[in-house]
Amino acid sequence: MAGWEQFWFTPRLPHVLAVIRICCGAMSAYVHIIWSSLLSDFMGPHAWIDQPTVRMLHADDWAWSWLWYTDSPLLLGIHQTVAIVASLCLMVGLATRVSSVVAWWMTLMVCHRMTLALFGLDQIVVMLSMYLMICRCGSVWSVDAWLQRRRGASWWLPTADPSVSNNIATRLIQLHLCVIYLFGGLSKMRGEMWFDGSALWYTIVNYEYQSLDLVWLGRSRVAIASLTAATVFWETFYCALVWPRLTRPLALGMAVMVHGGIALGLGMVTFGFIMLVANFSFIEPSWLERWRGKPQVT
Amino acid sequence: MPEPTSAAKTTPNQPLARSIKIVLSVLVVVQLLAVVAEPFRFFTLSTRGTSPAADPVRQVLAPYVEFAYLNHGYFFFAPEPGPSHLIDCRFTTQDGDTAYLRFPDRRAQWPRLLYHRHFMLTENLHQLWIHPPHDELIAEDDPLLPEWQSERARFEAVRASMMRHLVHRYDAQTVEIDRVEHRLPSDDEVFVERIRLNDKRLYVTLPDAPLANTESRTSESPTSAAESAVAVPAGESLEDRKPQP
Repeated sequence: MAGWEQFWFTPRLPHVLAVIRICCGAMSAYVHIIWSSLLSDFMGPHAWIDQPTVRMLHADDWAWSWLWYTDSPLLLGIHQTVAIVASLCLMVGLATRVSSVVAWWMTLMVCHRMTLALFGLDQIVVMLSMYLMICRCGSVWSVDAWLQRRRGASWWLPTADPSVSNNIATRLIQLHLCVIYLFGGLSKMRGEMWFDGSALWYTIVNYEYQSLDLVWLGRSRVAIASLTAATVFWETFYCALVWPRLTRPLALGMAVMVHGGIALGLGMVTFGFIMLVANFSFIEPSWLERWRGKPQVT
Repeated sequence: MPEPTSAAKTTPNQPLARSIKIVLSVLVVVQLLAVVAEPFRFFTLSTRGTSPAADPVRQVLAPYVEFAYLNHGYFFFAPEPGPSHLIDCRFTTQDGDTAYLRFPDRRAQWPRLLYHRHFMLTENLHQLWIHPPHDELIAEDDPLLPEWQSERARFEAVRASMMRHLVHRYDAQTVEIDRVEHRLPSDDEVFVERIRLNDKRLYVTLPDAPLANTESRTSESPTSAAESAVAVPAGESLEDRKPQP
């Protein structure tokens, strides 16, 4: 039980979560801005997936969105404005206790409306938004922190002291990320290409994904096969390698390479970036303090 | 201006009571079960169904997992990186001419995230596809028939929604949608045969009906939407993109 207590209930500084908050808020705002750029095409009365169809797709599950019941341009415009403003407030840490909840809720509503147009980016943004709601991520590097210094601390404007809620949010992000990689790795084991070494080739020659021509890599089958093997082994064993201090830099370094590759080579800058943001949860707050030249917090 | 309260600034957090820790522990365990439930169930999926070990937890937590958008398998590029699936749209314009569009199109949909949204729509349309039930299946009143028909109806509903959108968006009389598969070339094809990644030979128009009924259709490529697709930036009129002689 002591291990459980230490793992979950040791107070933690909010600085790493603040970085995640800034990045997640910015990404969430960007996602909503992109939806809004073609609002009629995606959510209007003649959307790609119209209201009756999206309700039919979710007839047998528990998903629900109030966007299933309106296609009014005015209401949709207001909805997206609120979503963008809430996301920006989350980014700058303004009224974070409220804006984090609103940003999560609005993103969730849009996700349930935009079934079939979603991908990994949306999954990670919702995941991070959800965990940011339960911590004090707005207590540092934020407008709230500035207000707190002027007006004093309160539940709405918490101090940047170590807290258990910060730790629980961090642990949940870390474990959720481990689950994602574990099943990402295990699922690859159901195919052959990740084992015969050709999977990376068939990833980089996918014209619809390609944003950077890496086809030249294929001139060396050894290089392709080695990178394929490294990817599948890293993904599967990430959940073990990322915890010991000795192997954590290796696990996170590979994450930078894999997601950097996805971002630059496969045209998914948003997805690659948000996965790196989630990986940032494994950075110790004391490392940040040391990097900023501040004395370490014990 | 009020001064910050020194107590709030300096008082460390009070240790949590044991009862609160127990409640938090239970909540944390439930959350972790919810996170694992769907990928575990998805991972065990086979032709015989899902694992009995995965189903109970997933079913109990279904309301939370599905509403909180935690129902993902996390099968990124798995089990194998496969071909892309696009759609070719053949429009009959208001003046009776024919025009073509292909989705997604990275030149037409920008920024990249917008392109990716369209890509996911066409990819997921393909994932939903199931051909109409065989005549024998209908005649024999096979027990699989209701589920088959239900899945087919789901695909047709999504395709119909997309067609309504396209007709409205491009002010056309009618539209037909063909699913197109973009096959991935091998390294020999690229380096020895010098096939480009967007070579026309790699694009195959997929039949909607069972293969036996559609052999003649797949061979009539000169008139298929796949070979004549023309990119139209979002917002541009179809009038500008009628097929050139």
